[in-house]
Amino acid sequence: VSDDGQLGLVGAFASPDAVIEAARQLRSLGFREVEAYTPYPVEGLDGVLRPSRRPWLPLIIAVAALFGAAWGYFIQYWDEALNYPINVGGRPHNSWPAFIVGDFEFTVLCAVAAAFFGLLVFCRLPRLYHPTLKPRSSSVLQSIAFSCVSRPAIRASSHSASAASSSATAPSMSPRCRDEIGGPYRHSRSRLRNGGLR
Amino acid sequence: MGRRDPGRRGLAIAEYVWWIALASGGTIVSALFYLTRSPWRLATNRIAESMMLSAAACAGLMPILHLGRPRLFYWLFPYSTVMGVWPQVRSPLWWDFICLLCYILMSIMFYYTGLLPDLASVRDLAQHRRKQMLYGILALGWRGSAQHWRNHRTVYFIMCAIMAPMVISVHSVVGLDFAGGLTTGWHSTQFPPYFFFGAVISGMALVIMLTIPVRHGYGLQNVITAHHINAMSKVMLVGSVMLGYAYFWEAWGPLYSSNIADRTWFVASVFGSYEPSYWARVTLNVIIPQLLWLPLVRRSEMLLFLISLGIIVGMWIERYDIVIPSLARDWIPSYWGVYFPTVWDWAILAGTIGLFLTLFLLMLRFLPIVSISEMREIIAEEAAP
Repeated sequence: VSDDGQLGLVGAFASPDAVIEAARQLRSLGFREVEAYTPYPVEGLDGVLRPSRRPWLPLIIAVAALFGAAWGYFIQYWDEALNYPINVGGRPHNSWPAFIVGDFEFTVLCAVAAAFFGLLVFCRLPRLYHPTLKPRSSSVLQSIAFSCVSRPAIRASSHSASAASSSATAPSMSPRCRDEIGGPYRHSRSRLRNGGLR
Repeated sequence: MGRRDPGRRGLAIAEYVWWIALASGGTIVSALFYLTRSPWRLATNRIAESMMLSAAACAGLMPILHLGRPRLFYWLFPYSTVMGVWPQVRSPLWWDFICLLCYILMSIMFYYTGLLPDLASVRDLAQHRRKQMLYGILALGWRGSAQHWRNHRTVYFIMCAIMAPMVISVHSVVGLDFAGGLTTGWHSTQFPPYFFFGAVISGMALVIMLTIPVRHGYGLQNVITAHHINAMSKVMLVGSVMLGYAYFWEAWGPLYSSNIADRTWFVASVFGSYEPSYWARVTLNVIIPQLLWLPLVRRSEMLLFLISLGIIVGMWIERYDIVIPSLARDWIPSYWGVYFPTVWDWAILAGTIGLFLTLFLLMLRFLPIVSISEMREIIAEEAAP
């Protein structure tokens, strides 16, 4: 957040390729806190913004599935063999073929639950207010347009921040429109009312 | 309820199987055909998923109503009670309970994951403060950032890859419930695939039956095109052919084996007291759907609607025909009898249909019925050179 309370700059782009190109240029200018907002997934955009990120989520889901398999088997084994053993026609208490169905269900339930809650955690959700939610009412993010928000990093000097503002208007990136976002909530709302954000 | 000898399971279990098969159709459309990257899925998957949740709620009620003491259904949970009594997890009935429970929980999470970006779109487009707050809370703050989309894509793909085998397992386990019993006509290894074939055809029939009026009512003819309906009717035709195969083996088993009880049951259901229901299901589920081979029929919405309706009724009769005649022609002739549903059975059927329509219409009214983000992606791809 810069001195005047601004969170960053936002530019709207006409096509997915333009956003990817803008993101690439901002990265090469040294900006690290750059985020792009799109109405649908754009292939490769996240890879440009965060090239070194490792995909932890699938691994977590796999671990959850293994945990579910172990837990599901243990519950059934503990029930049938340890805590409440009943002799049904001389069948073994640890009747593993009969435990497979329950075990499968516990496995997939844990995997899907890990996927669902993992998605929320990795997206930092729920978070009901965020500065970039504001310009949406001005339909910048809702039309089939793409926005790219550059948040000058705290480490970034005022020099690079001005570079960002100039680069956002540079012809090579050519956003359809650009604006500043952020600051206190009330401030941005009053600006909205005055038609400040397009 | 009309639960008395010989129909000790009444209609509740038949209708449970019927509803869960209808629900499975929704998961087949949205998960299985996501993995095959079928382009026709996108316009119809939300309708199918809404249908899946509504039907699963009805399916979940049925076994509870069928219990002698419905208020004690929670004894099926593997939880630590002061009585020290645990459920018998070696029983197929418990497998069924755990399958249904997990299926409903997973369906809700799967549905919500797909819905999240669209709830955010509705929030952003909402004009009134109350609507903005409601959808703002439901959307959990989804912003559509590159990071969000990347995680969403990963999770949605993994969920589909899990839900596809899951839906096969749910209906197969319902089949195992029957196969695990020693009752004549049930004790057969063909039941798990037989039930899954039934899920394919009846689920697709319900998706088609709901899609046709929704498409006209909401003016979605350009989004859900004749191409989509045509593709779904082809899947329904495949389901019909698979079901015909299962019917063939259902007849082959008792006739080929030397088991007198099985043969008696089969003859009674084909030529005896249950003759009308047997031939009705063969006609509605296998013979009439063969009309779908003709492109003319697949293009006619009225005919498709009627064929789908016939299949849904035919599948209800099939479930009735699986549950009731087997109990009416059990091993010992002293058990034999004729069962007919009472007014309370029909009232419960009408009640679940009402519950289904209420839930489905509420979702239709308050939630996006076509996936907005996926449609935008398609439009952008088609607009690009």
